[in-house]
Amino acid sequence: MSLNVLIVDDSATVRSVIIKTLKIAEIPTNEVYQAANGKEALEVLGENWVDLVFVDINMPVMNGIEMVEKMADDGMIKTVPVIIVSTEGSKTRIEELKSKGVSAYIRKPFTPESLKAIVEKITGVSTDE
Amino acid sequence: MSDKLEILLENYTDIMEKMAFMFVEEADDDEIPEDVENTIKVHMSFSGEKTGNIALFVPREIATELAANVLGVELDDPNIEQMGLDSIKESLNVTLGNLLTAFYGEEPVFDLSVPAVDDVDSGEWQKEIKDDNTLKILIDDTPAMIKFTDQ
Repeated sequence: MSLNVLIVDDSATVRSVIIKTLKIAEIPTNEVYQAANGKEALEVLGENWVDLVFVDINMPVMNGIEMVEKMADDGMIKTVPVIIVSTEGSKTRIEELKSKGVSAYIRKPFTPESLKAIVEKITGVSTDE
Repeated sequence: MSDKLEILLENYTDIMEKMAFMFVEEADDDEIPEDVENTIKVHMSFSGEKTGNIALFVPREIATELAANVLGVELDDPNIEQMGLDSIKESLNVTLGNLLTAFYGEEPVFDLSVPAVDDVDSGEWQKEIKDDNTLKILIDDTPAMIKFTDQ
């Protein structure tokens, strides 16, 4: 199974690094969508089937917390797994986001191995297939 | 060196090595030039239990080298300057996130601003040289400075 992935980060560098890391980790992907903020991401989610979303917290226009809250309000977060990829180190905030339905959290900077382990756990997609 | 500067050096060194395989070390006073050209200040603030900001003073060439290392692009790529600014902003963002945990632990919640970039003239550069709270460093042997302040 190949995943349709949405990467949400205002840094084009981070989006590129995540794409590169997915390739290095041999995570099978189909479409890889990109968005620079939560507002753009919600538009992508409204128009496309997405299997997995990577979201930064600190973004202009609409940050990751607001985006997660909108996805929770719409019930979307129950069907589309969300992984927070952020510099956030506050357990308080991470627990708050998990209570809203976020599936997992990866702290920057991350390794291909840590990303691979979390994606396999969340999606059930094995990279060894 | 104060404990705060040691933690700042340790964190920034670790982030730059992990993100970009770039080596950071403390600079001796005579390794920091008095005048600079083509240098930028990358800065962002935080608020919450404490407020403050972080600023990195660095030649533009370090930003482009960072982008080349992180993204695997050539230094003559037509978009390298923009990619460099984006990469150096992200490196500071990651550094600040990790520093806040190092200084205040994992319980407090902080809001971070979006990083910004401004040009730096020799006057501002010299002011930072004189500031004992500004850490003087070499990034791959290139002089730079970084400062973290909180209230």
